[in-house]
Amino acid sequence: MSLLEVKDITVRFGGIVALNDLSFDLDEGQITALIGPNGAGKTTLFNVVSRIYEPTEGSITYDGQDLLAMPAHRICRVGIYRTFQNLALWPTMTVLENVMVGAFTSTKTSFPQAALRIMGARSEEKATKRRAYEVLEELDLADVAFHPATGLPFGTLKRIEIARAMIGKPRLLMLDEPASGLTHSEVDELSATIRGLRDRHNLSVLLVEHHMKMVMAISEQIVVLNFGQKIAEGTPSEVQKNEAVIEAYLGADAS
Amino acid sequence: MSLFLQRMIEGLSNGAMYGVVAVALVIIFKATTLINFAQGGLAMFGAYMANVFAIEQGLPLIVGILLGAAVMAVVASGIERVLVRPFDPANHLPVVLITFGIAYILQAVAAWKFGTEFKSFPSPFPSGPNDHIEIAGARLRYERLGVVLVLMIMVGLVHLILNKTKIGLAFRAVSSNTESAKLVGVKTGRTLNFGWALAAMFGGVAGGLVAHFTQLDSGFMDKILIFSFAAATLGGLDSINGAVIGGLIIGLVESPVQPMVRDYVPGFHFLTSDLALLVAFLLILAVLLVKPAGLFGTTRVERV
Amino acid sequence: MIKLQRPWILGLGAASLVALGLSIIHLLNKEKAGFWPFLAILAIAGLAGATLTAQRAGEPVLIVNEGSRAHRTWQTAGWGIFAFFVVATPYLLDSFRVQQVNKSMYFAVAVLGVNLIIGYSGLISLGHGAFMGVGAFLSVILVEDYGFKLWQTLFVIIPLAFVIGLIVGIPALRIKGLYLALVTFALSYAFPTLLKIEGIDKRTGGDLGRNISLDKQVQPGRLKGLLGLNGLDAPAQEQIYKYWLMALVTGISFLLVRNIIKSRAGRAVIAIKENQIGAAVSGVPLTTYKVITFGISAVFASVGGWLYALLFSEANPNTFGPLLAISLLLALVLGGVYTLQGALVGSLLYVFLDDLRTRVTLTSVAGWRPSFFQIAEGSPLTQAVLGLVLILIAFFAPGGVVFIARKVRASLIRVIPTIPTADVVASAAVDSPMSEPEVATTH
Repeated sequence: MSLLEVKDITVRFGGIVALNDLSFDLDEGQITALIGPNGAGKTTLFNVVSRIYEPTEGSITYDGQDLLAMPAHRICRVGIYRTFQNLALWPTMTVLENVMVGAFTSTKTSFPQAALRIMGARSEEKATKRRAYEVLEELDLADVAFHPATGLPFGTLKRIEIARAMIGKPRLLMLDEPASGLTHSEVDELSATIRGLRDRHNLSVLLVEHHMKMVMAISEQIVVLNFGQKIAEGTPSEVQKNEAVIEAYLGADAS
Repeated sequence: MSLFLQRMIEGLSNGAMYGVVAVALVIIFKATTLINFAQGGLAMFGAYMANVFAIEQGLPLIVGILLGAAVMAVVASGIERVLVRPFDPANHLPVVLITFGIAYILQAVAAWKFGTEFKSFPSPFPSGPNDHIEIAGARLRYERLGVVLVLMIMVGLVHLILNKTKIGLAFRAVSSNTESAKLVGVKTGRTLNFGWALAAMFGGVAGGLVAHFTQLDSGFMDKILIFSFAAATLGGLDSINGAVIGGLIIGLVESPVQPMVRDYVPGFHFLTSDLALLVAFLLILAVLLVKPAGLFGTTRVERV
Repeated sequence: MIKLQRPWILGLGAASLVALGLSIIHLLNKEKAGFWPFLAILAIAGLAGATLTAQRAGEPVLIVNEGSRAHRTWQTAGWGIFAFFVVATPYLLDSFRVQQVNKSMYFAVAVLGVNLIIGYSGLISLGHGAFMGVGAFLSVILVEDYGFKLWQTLFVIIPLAFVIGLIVGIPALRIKGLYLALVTFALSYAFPTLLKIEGIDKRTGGDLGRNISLDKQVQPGRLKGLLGLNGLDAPAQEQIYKYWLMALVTGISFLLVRNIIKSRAGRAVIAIKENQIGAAVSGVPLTTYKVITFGISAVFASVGGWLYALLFSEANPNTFGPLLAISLLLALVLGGVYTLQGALVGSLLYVFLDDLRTRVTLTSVAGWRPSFFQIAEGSPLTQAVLGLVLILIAFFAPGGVVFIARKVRASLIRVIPTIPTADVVASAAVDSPMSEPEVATTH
């Protein structure tokens, strides 16, 4: 059963076509990778699903709901969380607090409750803090919990983003180049982490990644984009054999 | 009808003065996305300098005004180099603090050096009781028409500078993309410096024109600056023509509105020109609600 | 406690703080300078010495676990010093100086509101002087024309200021960046004019403003004896009584703001400032949160205005113009943008600095261009001092005084935060990988 159905999505910025008539389905519980050369439109699709960019044409259905009818801040209420290629963290807050912001939709303390510390505000705060710490432990980040979310290694910051997404209990987790800036051994660890998260929390994962070894190792389905167009789709082995892919992307890579 | 026409011209000439200062604000905003809250202070000081050159030293008035503006251009370029450039333009607060600080200092120094009493200031145009032309019974005074003329000349000039000179080209490059401009070898620092000097020049000339209508004192540009803010915001902070049109609109709104409201709305009969400020404020809010970037401003697409 | 090396450094720091506070209080009374200036210099030297020694050691003097007994002890000591000065200040200062402290408090509450917008939301508003005006005028008008008691007016002012904040905020917050500063600055200019429009001026008193008549002003009441006012002269009685009322309101205001910024709602506000997109994909409704924050900040500004009316028993349209807006900004940056204590510290500094600059007389360096260096008392040039301070802060202390104080504190004391665990599974956390194993053992 497909969780996310992307149908005929076209995005134009002025005269530039960033995505052209893109359609694909993402199955529940799978890790799907979106690959393609730089500028192929992968991050653009993420931004369309997050409702940051407005598509020119097309529709996106998530779990039977029309995603394009929701404002950006509603997207995570239906269970879609994401990370960013260039990070979207809050540097003056500690790592723990960053993750606590991720729990925004699953908590409900309002301004007056917060100001007066009444009606469960105190206990909710405590519970949120505890949950955030647990998520950090699960992602091996407990030792930086009280460090400000700045000045840490890039790979750590990217994991903090994953933690921030995970505390919201996502059904669909979208990761934008989680492996960038990591060493080889760290990439292997990350692969294990992503798979582990998927298995433990029944996630579906949509992954944008340039690290081919990792993509081939962990994804069940791969969608290949080039210049905003889908040029191939299938399992890793199918994609690896695909002529168009080899020519447009892997071929260029190998030479 | 003739009275209405006369008021229109008064409004347009006021608007032209707002427009000149607004262009000064826009020049700086275009290049750095910053707003110079000291623009009024610089213009005020320029007018005092004009007073020194023209009245005290006996130079021709036009030369005095231009010299005053030139002095302020030098001062502004110094301010840019020493006080503004060290800061990241994306961080707005320091520059707000610094430009307000400069405004405070300029006002204090002016009040201290030139006194706190109002000084009258001549117009560079014929301003005697009979210096006017009559059209359909309306008396159009030369001092008023002259201001509009100066505005047109200055806007023409700034377009010439930006479109026909090398530094103008560099300026446009920096305004559209500072990073790319730097990469192709544009000296961004020098270009921004030029922008500040040009803006102060504009402000200084405006100061010399306004002073005749308001008299000189250390705060005479405050209200003008607020109206110019309104003009620039209305037109869109990054559009020079927008600033001019915004200025003219504000001027028109201000001058016919005030007597009409005074005459026809009960309870407002004693009203001073300050109501215009309120009207201008509501006007900006209304425009920004419909077009958040102003009438002629460009909306930039944010990249994620 | 984990570690306490050379406790004398901490003692020196604390003693210096107390000595500095006392000498400032005595210098403000300035009847006899005596040895107090020297004590002040000594205290500053003591603080600097303690900081430098600790920094040279490369490690804070005291390292404690959050919530441990040692931590509580030192915390209590700190609050004790603070409480001592809160209680002692009005009785040690003469009534003119107490009034200045009171002035700082109404300022501080308004600056607190400004800080919510500028510091925590990252939106530059220069219109909060107008919200103060709303509070001050409503107090005076309701008391004079509608028979309210002053404290009762708060129940009208708070909701009304919130609504006015929303009305101004909804259009204003569609505007980005410095546009907002411009529009709100224009509001600051327009506000006094609005109050002088005929019809409205019947209530506001137009150019002259309104007073609260003598019989309705706040007078030292039943608590006189308790507050130790008996036997003092009338101005002192009045100012000290007001001091306690204002301290109460100021304290509550600070508590409320602290609770907000340390909560889910507050984190959302900060998240919007620091990375809007990140906040949006975490589910924060950006516009709603910005507008509500604007409304709340308007409430605190208006409560500041209410305190103004309480202190001066009057309100004048010209008070609440653009100059006030800039003063609020100045106080905020003096104390520290994006810090809670900055509002109070900055307001105190601003009020006393502003007073100082109007009294100071600078004489020339002998014989050398005397006219240039002579600044007479009350010269318009003293205005330049404020401008100079603005520029100096932007360059040398962008975090304000509180930021510097925090640096000093960080070099003396480090608190290791408690690991948040469920009470029942506390032991599980001990096994977690920690960079500082000693934390786990003492937990």
